[in-house]
Amino acid sequence: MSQKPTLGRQIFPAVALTVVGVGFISLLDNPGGNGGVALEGAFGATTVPMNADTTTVLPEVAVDPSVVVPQTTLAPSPLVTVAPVVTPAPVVAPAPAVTAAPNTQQATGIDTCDGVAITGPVASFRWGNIQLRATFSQKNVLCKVKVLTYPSDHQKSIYINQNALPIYNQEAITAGGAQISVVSGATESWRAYTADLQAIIDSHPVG
Amino acid sequence: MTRPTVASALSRVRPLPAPQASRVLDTDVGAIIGVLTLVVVGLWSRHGGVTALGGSAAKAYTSIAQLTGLFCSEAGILGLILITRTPLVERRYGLDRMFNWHRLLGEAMAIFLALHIAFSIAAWAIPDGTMNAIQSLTGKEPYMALTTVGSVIVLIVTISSLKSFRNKLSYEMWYFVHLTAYFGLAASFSHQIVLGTDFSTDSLARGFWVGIHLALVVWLIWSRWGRLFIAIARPLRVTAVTHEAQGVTSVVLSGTHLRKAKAHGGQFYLVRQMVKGRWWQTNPFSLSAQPTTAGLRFTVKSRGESSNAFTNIAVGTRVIVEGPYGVCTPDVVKSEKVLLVAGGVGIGPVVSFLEQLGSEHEPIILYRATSEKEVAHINELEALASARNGKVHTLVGPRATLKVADPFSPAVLLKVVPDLAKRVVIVAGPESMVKAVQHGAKAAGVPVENIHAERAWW
Repeated sequence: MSQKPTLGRQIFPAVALTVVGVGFISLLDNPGGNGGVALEGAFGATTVPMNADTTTVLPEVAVDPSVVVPQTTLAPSPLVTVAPVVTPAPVVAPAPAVTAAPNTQQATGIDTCDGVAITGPVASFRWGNIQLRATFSQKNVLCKVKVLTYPSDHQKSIYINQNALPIYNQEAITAGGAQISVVSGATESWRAYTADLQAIIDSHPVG
Repeated sequence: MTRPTVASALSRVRPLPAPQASRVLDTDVGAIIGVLTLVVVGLWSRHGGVTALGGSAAKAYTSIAQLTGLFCSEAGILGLILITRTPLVERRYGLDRMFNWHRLLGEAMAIFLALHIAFSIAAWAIPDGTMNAIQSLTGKEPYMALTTVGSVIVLIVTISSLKSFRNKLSYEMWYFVHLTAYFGLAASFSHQIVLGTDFSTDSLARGFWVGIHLALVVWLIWSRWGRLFIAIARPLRVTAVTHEAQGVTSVVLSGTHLRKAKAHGGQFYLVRQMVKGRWWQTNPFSLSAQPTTAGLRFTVKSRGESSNAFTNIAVGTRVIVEGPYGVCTPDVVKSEKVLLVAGGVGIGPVVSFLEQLGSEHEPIILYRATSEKEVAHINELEALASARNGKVHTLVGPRATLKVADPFSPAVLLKVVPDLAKRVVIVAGPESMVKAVQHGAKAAGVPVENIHAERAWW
């Protein structure tokens, strides 16, 4: 014995819920897309200054052909290849905005994580590719590592790397280099990771 | 208005008011299901599900495994919402339809689960080989042992509920197997959060997923246990047991709590007899008289152990009722005339329905019974009908002895009820008879929305 509901009453919940649903979806992260991997480690709890991130859009032409691109060799795996064609890295880029900064900062003893940022070569191995981007502090200490690419062909790879790579990032910063211990179950990722990080460190002009 | 004293309230018998109608519309239900599906597909596609389909075989399999896994969970969520028996949905669609949808969702869930398992193994088998993949997915990976147990339970529960298996199992067996589904679903949850790409990496998605499941758990606990505790706090007692016909008994339940209750003719309650060995079990029984503050009458045929126990229940026994449920109430009739069809003990809901109709409905009642001895409430029925300007036709005897092959064919129906097409048809009885009446009435020109059937609860 109910009256027929109005058209507005019938449509309103559908529209409202759809707006909420679409809004929710648009807020989600997008780790499935390449390059959007949010795996990074930075020293301390300090936020990274913006000018360190601006280097991510460095033009490829900045590559000096005389810079020797170190071969990433992953000894035990026969499948290891390096793909320098795809990524003509490492790209060395001193942060231009802070050229005057080091002296004052060194004088006061404060080191900030906004020095040189280097993108490593693509390290290919059995399960896919790993590529890192490392940032050095004003005092040329490795202070931040970001994972740009990691194997994602298999759910298992995603799972393993998402566990292990943040640990490697943290260890690398603590160790200040590629001498880090392996996370059990992620040995091959470790090989590729350390090789890539070593390549970055080797190409770092000062460090 | 002055508040009646307890004594006067007890002495004055009044019919119970009708429960409120649900404000939920079909479009609301559609919107909720649609948006849940949208969010699930959105999650999957935002996390690279669509692009992965075009990638390597391993990527594509993983992507399909994720989507089927998400759909499996969605079917589970919707299926669980239905068994909360929320009045929002129940008052609109009725418990029988909710149970039916619950069953269908369970079957869909099992199919998605099977696909999810198959594609997960296929995806992991590409780098590892099938045996290693199965090993990983059944125990090596975190929470997968638990998930395997959960999946097996969910599959067993679904298979045991398929009609062909369900009929072979005792109610108790089926019920306790079915209860383990809660554990099965809970056991499978952790792997979604830890291993599922959609949730392990995206904190917003994870928050949403955990939130929706927590809300569901709270809702389930409240609606199943909370309502049960309220029902336990308001017990009724058996005040009369009357032998009505062969194997048919009417039982009246009374209690002071009925003063605050709401119920309508044609509805049913889940009845729990508080006697040794029966307290854990409920039976759906239809009201067979207009519910009043004086009592609820149920007419029950002894068909199984439990209903048999109810027909032999002692006066004074405590009985806990949950309900009322059911949407085949006088609310479905507006100003139209009415045809009521009762089969066997389906006479119960028909009597309680008829009692709340007015003479403007000129009710015609068709009462079908297989034997003279099983005819119950016939005098009551005739009195109610004649007071409402109506008529009662009975058709008694085993089907083989009837003059017509199908007593509910459109020709027979139209001969007995010439203005059938203008009437609202209410039918209560065994499933086969309900189907025959629905079919016959439709063929005789009754619009589908004017045919209301209540599954026989007794």
